[in-house]
Amino acid sequence: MIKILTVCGAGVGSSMMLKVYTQQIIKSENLDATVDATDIGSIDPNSADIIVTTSDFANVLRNTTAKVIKIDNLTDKESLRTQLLEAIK
Amino acid sequence: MLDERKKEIINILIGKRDFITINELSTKLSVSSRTTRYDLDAVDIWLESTGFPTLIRIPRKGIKLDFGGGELKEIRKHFTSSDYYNYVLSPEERMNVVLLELLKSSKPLTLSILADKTYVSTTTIYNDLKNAEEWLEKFDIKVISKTGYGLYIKGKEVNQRQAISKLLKSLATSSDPNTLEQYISILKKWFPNLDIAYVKDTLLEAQELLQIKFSYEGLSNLIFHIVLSIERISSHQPISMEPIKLQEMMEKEEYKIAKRISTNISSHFNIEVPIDEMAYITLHLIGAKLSTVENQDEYLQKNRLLSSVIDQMIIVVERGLNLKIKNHEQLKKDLYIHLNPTLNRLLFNKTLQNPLLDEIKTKYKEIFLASTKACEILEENFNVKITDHEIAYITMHFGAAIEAQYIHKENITKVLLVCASRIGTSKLLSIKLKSYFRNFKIVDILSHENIDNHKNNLDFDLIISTIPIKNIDKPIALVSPLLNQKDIETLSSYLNYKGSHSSLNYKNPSIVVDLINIISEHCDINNLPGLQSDITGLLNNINKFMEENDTYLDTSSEILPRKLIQVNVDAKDWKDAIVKSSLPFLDHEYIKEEYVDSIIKRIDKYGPYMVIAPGIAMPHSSSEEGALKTGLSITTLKNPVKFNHKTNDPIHTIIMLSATNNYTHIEALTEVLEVISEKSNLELLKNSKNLDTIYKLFTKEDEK
Repeated sequence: MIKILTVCGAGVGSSMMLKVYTQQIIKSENLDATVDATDIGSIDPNSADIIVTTSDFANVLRNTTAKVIKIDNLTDKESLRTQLLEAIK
Repeated sequence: MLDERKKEIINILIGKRDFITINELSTKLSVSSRTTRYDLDAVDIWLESTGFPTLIRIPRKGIKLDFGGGELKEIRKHFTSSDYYNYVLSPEERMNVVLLELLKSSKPLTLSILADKTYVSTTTIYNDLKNAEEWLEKFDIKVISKTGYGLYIKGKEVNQRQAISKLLKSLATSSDPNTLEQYISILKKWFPNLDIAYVKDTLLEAQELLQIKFSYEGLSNLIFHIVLSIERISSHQPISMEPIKLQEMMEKEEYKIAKRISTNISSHFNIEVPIDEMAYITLHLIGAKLSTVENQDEYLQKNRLLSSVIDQMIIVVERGLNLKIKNHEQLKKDLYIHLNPTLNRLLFNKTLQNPLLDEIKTKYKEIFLASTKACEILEENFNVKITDHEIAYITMHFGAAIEAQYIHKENITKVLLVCASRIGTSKLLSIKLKSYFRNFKIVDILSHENIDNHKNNLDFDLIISTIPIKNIDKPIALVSPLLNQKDIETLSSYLNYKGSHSSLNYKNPSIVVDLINIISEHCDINNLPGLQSDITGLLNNINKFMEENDTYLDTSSEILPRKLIQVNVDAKDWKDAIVKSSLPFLDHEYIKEEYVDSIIKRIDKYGPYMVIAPGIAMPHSSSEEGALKTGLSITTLKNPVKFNHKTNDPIHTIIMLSATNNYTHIEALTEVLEVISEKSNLELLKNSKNLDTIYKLFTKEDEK
């Protein structure tokens, strides 16, 4: 089972949206994965296989074993899907 | 000739002393502007013919009456009450005049007198009389016509006064009086020779003596009836009362006041007020008082001391009996209405005998004792001595309230008490239980060892035990032998479950009891109190969650309320844009000021991560930083600003988010993002300066 974390500053805004979108993708692609949203202050970067976040936080999360997916356009679900599938492969 | 409406026009113009438009006038008169114009022409003709200056009319400014002081005085002469008959009466008005003349007159009237009064022929009056007779019949009054003598009416004086009252009230409705002064000025027209202000003052004095306050309606009715009494006494049409009724009235506390009023008016108006008339005034004083009881909230306000004393009395009784009275408000009203006259009785040393005293003392012994205790407060505050007979009445009020909720047979809970073998503890527990829970019936007390032998022979609803018991299919409550506060709450929760008691903190205690029962079926419970409090905590949290969801579940098609959208906002940089876009939230108390500062700090610290898409920023902070209500607001900027984002600058739309937790806003946020992921919508957001366009963008189209 793949563990995905979505990350943003407060854990209520973009990370929640990313979580919702990731869940939609997990469902439509029938992936064996869980997804949780968290904020940058409380994240354990090594507790996840994949981290989805915006580029500003991607820099903060450099020292992680997880694959980091950068999203700069929250309305662009297609980009998230492509990158997510790429990371899981 | 001026009719009422044309006179009204002149009155309005005199009052206004400035220009008034025809539209304003026609609104005031509730007629069309065309009618108003015709009326104004007629007014002009009348003014000219009577030698007054005509109306000043200036286009687009309106009409004005340019009168000096002398002219004002002069025109008022044309407005005396006799002038009322100077215009043609409608058949209804004519009937009212006929009725009034018939009711007023103590002498017979002829048809020709009535015809003169109404400016019609005797034949017309003869026909009108039929309607008048019909109207009077409702009051059991007959019109008698004797040839060569005239017309007069026959009926009880009480009924005649009622008829007059009804008639005058129907005449007054055309200009509904809102204040006592207005009402008095109407009365003055009807009774021009009487000093009505004096009657009012006398009644205000009576009001203070009675320590009550009449309502506006009560006071105006009283004034009317006393004025009518004076008028009727003067014209030798006094009232008469049945001796029993008279006696009854004379015993009333209000009779003293009526007497006082009568003394005042007899000297002021130089009339003799008979006893019957005083009793009649008493009747109205009582009536006025009672009429306001209909408005109980107001009535309860009248005697604030009594009201607060009753509150204290209820608490004393509740404590004395260790129960909660459910229908507090009703009991309070009943007691108030009962105690108000009770206090008067006590003050006048006229206490009642209660025929049920002995029965109440035995049947409701405890309630009687609690009520006696409660009555001490009453005695202290009002400096009276309350007899057992009166306490018995008060007991009946409490008894009725408690009985209504308690002593129903089906609400008795049959309890099987189970203890460790020590008989002393179980007795103590039994007494405590009975004192706390009046509707507990302890069917038996068993030791732990005996329970298996007896449980099938006994009929009970609940086991209360000091030690854990297994293999029983009835609810079990585990309590400490000393029955502490927590135990009482647990038991209350069971009673709540049975729907017969309410004094508990848990919102859904029955679920707690049910869950514990289910759990105990499958597992051994090591720590029942701990389990109970944890389940309660969990359920309360779930409730909170569900409540929040409920408030969010908005069935309207509106994603964003209009009040949270602003367009074409001028901002000089990203900070300014954030500050300005937070205004709708601040205005509608979605966030505190500190929330805005917190957003800016976050961007300073982490960079422009709140820029979520090209041209779109979603500033927000965490719920602890001053979010009060969950919501989204949208602000479009006049000129896009830079947030220093690598790819998505410049920003033209700010979606501000306020979230009090991390789930309730998701649906709305998803919908908003769904909308802006459409390229055409994004273009609209970027370019439209129209609030409606933006609002429609965020309103679901599928719901029409």
